[in-house]
Amino acid sequence: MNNSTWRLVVVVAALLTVGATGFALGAGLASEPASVSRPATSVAATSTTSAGTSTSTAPPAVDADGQTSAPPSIAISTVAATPAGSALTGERVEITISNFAFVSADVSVPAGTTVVFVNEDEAVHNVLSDDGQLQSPDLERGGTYEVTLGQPGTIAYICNIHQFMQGTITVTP
Amino acid sequence: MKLATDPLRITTAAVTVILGAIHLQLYMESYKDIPIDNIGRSFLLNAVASLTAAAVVMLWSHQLAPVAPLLLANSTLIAFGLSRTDRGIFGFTERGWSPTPQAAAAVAAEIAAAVFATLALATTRTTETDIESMRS
Repeated sequence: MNNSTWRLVVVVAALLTVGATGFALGAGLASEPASVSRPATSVAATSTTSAGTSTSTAPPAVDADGQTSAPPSIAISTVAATPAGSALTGERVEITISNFAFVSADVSVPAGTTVVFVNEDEAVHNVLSDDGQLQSPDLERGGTYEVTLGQPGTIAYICNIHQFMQGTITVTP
Repeated sequence: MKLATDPLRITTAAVTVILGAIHLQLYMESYKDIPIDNIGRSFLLNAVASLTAAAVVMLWSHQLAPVAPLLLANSTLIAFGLSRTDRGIFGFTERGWSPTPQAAAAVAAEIAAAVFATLALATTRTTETDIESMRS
């Protein structure tokens, strides 16, 4: 390989490195979520049942330096994992996010139950339903999201970052 | 076969092993459970390829040896970038620097591996050219 060919190899290597680095850093920065729920904070949402509509409200984003209106972390008082499709009677139900799955993904709860999602994965996840009853911010590891469900029916939800993560909550009267 | 003594090659090999170790840790932790076959496998493949590339740059004295970690690091950076787009990679998407802190650490190691590999390529040739001119 002569010197000019070698110079070309080095220049191509340098250009490839600059391009790949720029692409990765740009994509990482551009896709950074605007709001993230981090450990030691929780985000609550409450659904209402009037006139057959359901609304969900989530407080503003929570950031690392504590500038948040979200309530402090809550003590979880019920099960960490339940059989799929089982009926649960507690006032608070925990659904764990672990290994890129909701555990348990499919639960049945009485109306008025507060469902708490806890992210135990290293990856960021969120919880969203088509009807808008579940609208969490992105949850980092240890982040929680809770929602009180008042209207009977079935709510299908997903993590919209990893859309293969799906589940349903059946709210009974 | 002789171990490389060039500091640039040694540094390239070290950061390449680190980037592979991060991918292996993520695979073992939870990425093996992702129900998209290619994603879990690609993390494991990255770990194996990293170890191989590090061995190549340390054990193969050929001037093109740094190309192995260079291509691995840059292709991993591109895969990272693609996974942060709407289409994702193999349909798999992530956001920002998640998982924390592995994503940022892996990107830092990949950039370092690519830069040091490029420098190793450039200086290897310079050294050989210098030797040739000294001989003549």
